[in-house]
Amino acid sequence: MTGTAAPTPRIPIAPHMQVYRPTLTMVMSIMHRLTGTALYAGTVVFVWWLVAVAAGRVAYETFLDVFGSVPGLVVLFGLTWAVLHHALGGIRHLIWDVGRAHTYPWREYLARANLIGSLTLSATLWVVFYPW
Amino acid sequence: MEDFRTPTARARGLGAARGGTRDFWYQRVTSALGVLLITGAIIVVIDSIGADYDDVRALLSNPVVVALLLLALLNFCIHMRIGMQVIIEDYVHQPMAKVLLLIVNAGFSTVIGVVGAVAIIKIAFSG
Ligand code: HEM
Repeated sequence: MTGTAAPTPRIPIAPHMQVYRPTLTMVMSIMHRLTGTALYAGTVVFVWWLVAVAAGRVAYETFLDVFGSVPGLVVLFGLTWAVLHHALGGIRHLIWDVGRAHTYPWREYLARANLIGSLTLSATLWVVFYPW
Repeated sequence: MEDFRTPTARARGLGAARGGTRDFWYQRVTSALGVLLITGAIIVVIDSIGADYDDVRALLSNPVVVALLLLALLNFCIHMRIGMQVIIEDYVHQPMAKVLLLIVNAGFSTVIGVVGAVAIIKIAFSG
C-alpha cells in the first residue's frame, strides 16, 4: 500500500462456491461424488459377504447378524440407494460424453429423473425383495 | 536454453498424477460396462436374500455367477481407483500427501479386488 495508486476495485477474482444459489444440477454433481465415495467404502461390505461365504457357516452367520441388525440394514439400504443413484448418474455422464443433454431443458429433466429414479427404484427393490 | 523436444513430448506426462489420458478412457469404459455388470451383481445379491448357507454356496459356485462377479469386481476396482484418484487430485495439492494418498488408493483398490477374487474362486472350486 503506497497510498498513491488508485484503489483496486474489489471484484471477485475467482468463483466462490458460497455465493452461488444451489441448483439441482449442482447438488446432483456433489451427490455423484458422495455416492461414489460411499460405494468405495461399500466394497468392504461386498467383499466381507464373499469372504464370509468362503470362510464357512460361522462367518456367514456373523455377517447375517451384523447386517440383519437395524444399523446394518440402514447401511444396506444406504448402499442400495447409493449404487442406484450413482449408476443412473453414471448413465447421465455417458449421455453427456456423447454430446447430448447439456442444455436446458434436458439437463434438468435428466437430473430429476436421476433423483426420482434412484429413490423409487431403491424403495421398490426393498419393498419387493426384503423378507418382511 | 534450446529445447529440442517437440511440443507433444513436452506436454506428455504433465497430468496431475503425471499420467496420460488412459485413465480418462478407462473411466468411461468401466462406467459403460459397469451398467451391465452392476445389474447382474444386484440380481445375484437379491437371489441370495433369505437363502441358507448351502443355498448361497450353490448360487456362488454357479460358473456364470462366478464369471460375472469376477468381471464386476475387476471392473469396479479399476473404476473406483480412477474415481478416487480424481477426487484426491482435486482436493490434495501438497505433493507428499498427494503421492501417499494415491498409493494408498491404488493399494486399497488392488487389495479389495484380490481378496474378493480369492473368496469367489475358493467358493467356486470347493462347491
Ligand atoms: C453402473 C455402475 C457405475 C457407473 C455407470 C459409474 C459411472 C461413473 C462415472 C461416469 C464417473 C465419473 C464422474 C465424473 O467424470 O465426474 C464415476 C465416478 C466415480 N465412481 Fe462410478 N460408476 C458406477 C459404479 C461405481 C461403483 C460400484 C463404485 C465403487 C465401488 C464407483 C466409484 C466411483 C468413484 C469413487 C468415482 C469418483 C467420483 C467423482 O470423481 O466425483 N462407481 N462413476
